Amino acid sequence: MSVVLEYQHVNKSFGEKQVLKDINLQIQSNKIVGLLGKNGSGKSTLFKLANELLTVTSGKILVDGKPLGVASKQVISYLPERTYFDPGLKVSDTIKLFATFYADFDQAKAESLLLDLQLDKNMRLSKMSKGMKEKVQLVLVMSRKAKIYILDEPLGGVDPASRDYILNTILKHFDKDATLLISTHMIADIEKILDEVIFIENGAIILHEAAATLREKEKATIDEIFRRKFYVR
Amino acid sequence: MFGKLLKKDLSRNMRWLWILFVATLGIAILGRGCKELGASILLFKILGIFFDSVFYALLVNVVLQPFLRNFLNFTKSLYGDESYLTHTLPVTKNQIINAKFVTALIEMALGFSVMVVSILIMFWTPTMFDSLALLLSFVIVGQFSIGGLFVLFVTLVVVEFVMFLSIIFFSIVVAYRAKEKRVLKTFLLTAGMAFASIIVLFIVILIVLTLNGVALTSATVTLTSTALYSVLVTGIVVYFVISVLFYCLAKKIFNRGVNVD
Repeated sequence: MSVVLEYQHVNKSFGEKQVLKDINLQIQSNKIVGLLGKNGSGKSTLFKLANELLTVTSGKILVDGKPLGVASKQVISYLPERTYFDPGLKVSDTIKLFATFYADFDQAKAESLLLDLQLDKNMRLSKMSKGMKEKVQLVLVMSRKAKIYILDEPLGGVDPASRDYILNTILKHFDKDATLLISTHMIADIEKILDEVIFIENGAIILHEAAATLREKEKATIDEIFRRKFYVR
Repeated sequence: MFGKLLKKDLSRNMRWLWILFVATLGIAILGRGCKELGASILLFKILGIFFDSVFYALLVNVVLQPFLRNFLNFTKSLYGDESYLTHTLPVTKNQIINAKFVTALIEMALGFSVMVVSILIMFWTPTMFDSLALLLSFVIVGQFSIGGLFVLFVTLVVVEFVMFLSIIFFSIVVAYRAKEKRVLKTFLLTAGMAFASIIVLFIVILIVLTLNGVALTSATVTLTSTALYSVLVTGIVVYFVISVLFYCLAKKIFNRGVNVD
């Protein structure tokens, strides 16, 4: 096992407001890691920094031992919490776009997943609901043979009926040698698949532990532990 | 990868722009046809007036739309929701910003070409340039080529648009590094930089006119063809230098990283 993603003393501020405080984090290969925290705790910021959507105020991020750049983008498959395609495109255009830019994109796999999810590849994104667009993006992201998958709220806009299918899709289609970093509020839905858990609060990491060890220690599910820790009075 | 990015950006804008370009050329042909037939048939005369007004509206758009679309897409693609795709593609920041600039240049050049061609379709007569030369001879002293002046003038306008686009791109890149008041900052920076650039051009042109012996303090100014050529060429050079300057600055700042919402 090797470290595939590393945050070294990472700080991020927006003006006076510090949103991430001295983050030191090592993510190993071949793990499914859940990043859990309340709204505004810094989960998305942490992901966005690794994808160069934000710039660190101080500190360093290494992907596969290298600084961020083209090489890191080639190995990270990132699903943000929002839909990003030009609505004028058809689903088939988005497939072509991924096939054009990502050497590790498996077009046949994407088309088969779209069929499973009953998504018409000739449909324009402008005609799709938010949930449908999210499914299209998830299909594209999971059809890459990446080293690291970063999924920010992948179940956010998805109906409960499709949630299990999506989770199974994620598990079935991500390379077993790859690392999956996932953030969600629906902890109960994903806790069975997690190898490691990271709790983040007010921009600081307050816990990083193996899921099984944590369950054992606290004699509770991850969902229960989360609720206890972040209970709002 | 640059080629792929360029293709992506071009196809995105051209999806709509080609319709405008074809429509402008089509209306110019129809308008010209009606003008030719309007002398003998009233219906064509009325249609000619209609096509004339549509033509002028399209002409304004054929120049402005490539400019506006590129500046809006620059913001959307680099700082809006689409930025989540743009910045995660396996390309360098230089390739991203270069593709935006080249796309803008190609589309603006196409827009201006369509404008010139459609004007020629609509108004060209064998004596058109002679009439223009006669008109200009009242204000310009000395020998001049109407074709040469026309090419220089169009080039000046094109480079001026390119300069404004470079200034806007630069202002967006600077303003969007902040978290708040991005649109206001973009507007203020653009206005300030554009004003400063025009002042620079004005000063340089005054120097060029003085060097060409134009008495600026005199109440009646006689403009020689040499002085006019110098002013046009100077304008092109100054606008070009300013465009390159803001393009390089935008690129440098963009390379330091972005902060998208």
